Amino acid sequence: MKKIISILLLLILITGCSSKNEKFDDSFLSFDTYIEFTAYTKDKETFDKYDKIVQDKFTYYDQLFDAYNNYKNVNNVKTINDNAGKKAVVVDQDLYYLIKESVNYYHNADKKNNIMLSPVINQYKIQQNNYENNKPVTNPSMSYLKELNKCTSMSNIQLNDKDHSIYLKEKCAQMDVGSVAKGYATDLIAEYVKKQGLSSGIINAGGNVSLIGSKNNKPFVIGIANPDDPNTYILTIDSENTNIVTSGDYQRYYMINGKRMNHIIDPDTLLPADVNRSVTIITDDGLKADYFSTECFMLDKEKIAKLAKKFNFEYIIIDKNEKITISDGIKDEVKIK
Amino acid sequence: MKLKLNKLDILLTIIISILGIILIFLSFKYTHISGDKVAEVYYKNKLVYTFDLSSKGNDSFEIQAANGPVKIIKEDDHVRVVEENSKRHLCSLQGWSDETLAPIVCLPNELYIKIEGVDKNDDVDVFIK
Amino acid sequence: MINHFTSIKKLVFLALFLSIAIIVNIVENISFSVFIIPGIKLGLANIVTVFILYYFGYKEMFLINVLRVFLANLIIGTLFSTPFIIAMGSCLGSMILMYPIIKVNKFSIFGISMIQALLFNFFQIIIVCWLYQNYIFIYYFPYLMISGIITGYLVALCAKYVILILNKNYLKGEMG
Repeated sequence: MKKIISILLLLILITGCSSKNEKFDDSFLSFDTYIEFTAYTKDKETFDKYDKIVQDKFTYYDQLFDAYNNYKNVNNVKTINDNAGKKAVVVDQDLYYLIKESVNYYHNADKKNNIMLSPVINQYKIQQNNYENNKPVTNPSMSYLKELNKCTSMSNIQLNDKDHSIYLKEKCAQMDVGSVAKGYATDLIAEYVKKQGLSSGIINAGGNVSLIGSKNNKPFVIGIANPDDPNTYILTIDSENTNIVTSGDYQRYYMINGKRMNHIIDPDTLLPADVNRSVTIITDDGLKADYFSTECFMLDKEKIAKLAKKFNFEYIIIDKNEKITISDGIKDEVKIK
Repeated sequence: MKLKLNKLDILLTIIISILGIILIFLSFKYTHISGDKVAEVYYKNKLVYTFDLSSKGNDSFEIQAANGPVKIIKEDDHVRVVEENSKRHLCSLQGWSDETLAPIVCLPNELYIKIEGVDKNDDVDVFIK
Repeated sequence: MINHFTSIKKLVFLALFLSIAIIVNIVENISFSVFIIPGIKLGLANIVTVFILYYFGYKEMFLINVLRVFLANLIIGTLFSTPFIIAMGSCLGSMILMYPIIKVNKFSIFGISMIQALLFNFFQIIIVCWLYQNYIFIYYFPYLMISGIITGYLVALCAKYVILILNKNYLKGEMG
């Protein structure tokens, strides 16, 4: 008799305790792109709480890493640029770390992802804008780019570990952390919201993805866009790592004479990189993932493999000829459609 | 075998009743799908037609089934069978369905209609563009 | 088991109740199909089953049940078709599983009848799922569980009164 009652109670307990989490999502603008925040929570109220935290954090980092606008009471990248050749600027720990790591990676990797290249990159940005607004486009003049390139050396950056200040030596030197900022910010925010109690969610900041937990104990499935038809996915990753960043030639570009000029400029040629169609980096560090997705977009698979080994990340390369290369560490987790 | 109701019988009744209620409760809890649904029509166990229940409007489908023609119509978000050749017209008797727990079954015609949930972007949780 | 019958009387008695069971079966088949899957029935013919079990024994019940399913389907015309397979399968399955339960003798006629009904419904669902290669019918089972208890009880109640009346008549000397 007792046994039967205890079995019954157990059954009732089981049904009571298993409350399934529901999926909610929201999207908002930040870092000049659409950010998608998805979370599996008990109810909408809980989701809204985390959503607000995520949005506020994105606003904070967007301002902190902004190279083009000043904000009251924030020493951001624009502040550093405004004081180029004048004085050092003390910055928030997160910004200091971002710059310092970018410098480290630059000197220890292949010297392709240059955060000081912005004078050159901006010339291409002008053409991208023209293209998006149906205005006439021309390629920036190479002689002009070479002039601008004189101010783009990474040695301009002077770091001061003691007071977390950055000094740009030349007046014409301008920094832009766009190639590393989103990945780093997304990772920081994901870590923060995880500490606040969120157990399952995804932040997708325009190609920079940070994962929190898993989906009901199954890994999240990530879809990687097909470069020829970026509205469909060409392969999926069952990801057990937390940060995935893709750089692709279809993200920001302009067309001229039937040729696509993408947004990742090779500092050695001062032209858009012409090696791969998309590179996806998978690792547990968002800054690293973003840095190397830009860097490896400009490199061939042998160099990428070497960097992957040295810096410990996995990768998926779709090269100019649509050939897909997957690193060994995640071969089992990738499914090609 | 005794003729009088005894304690064991009552216990049996209570246990089975509670179990039955729990199972019914569970089956509702875990199979109710909110969001987009489709009604899949299977003939001889093969999918022959799918109604999109998330789109407003009417739709109809007719098939030559085992006992004759069967006509199924959809209005907005529920489906039903309107015509069939069977002794007791059980299929059309089942009326409208829009729940996964209430498939429409027409066994004499070897046909059934399943209500399933559908995820818009299929298998991925996040899509990196 | 009540042994005051000669073997010829027993045969006639059994045949009589067999025909009653067949009629109940046919009527139940034609009148309605509560759960809309042809072949799944309430099982009212089990009144006879339970009665025979009490009055004669397990072997007689087994025989009468099998014959009942066979003949009822023969008469209706669904021999060897889907409803027949479902009925025969559930009949055999439930009776085989009933044997140890009956032997243990811990339940009254009510308990036996309810367990009979539950097992019968259980096998019906399983066989339908297997025949149509689709697990979807399992969703009906919890409802059949509850209806099984109710019909099981009612069936036993009917059988009990048949037994009591027959015994009374015997005692009164009307059945010889």
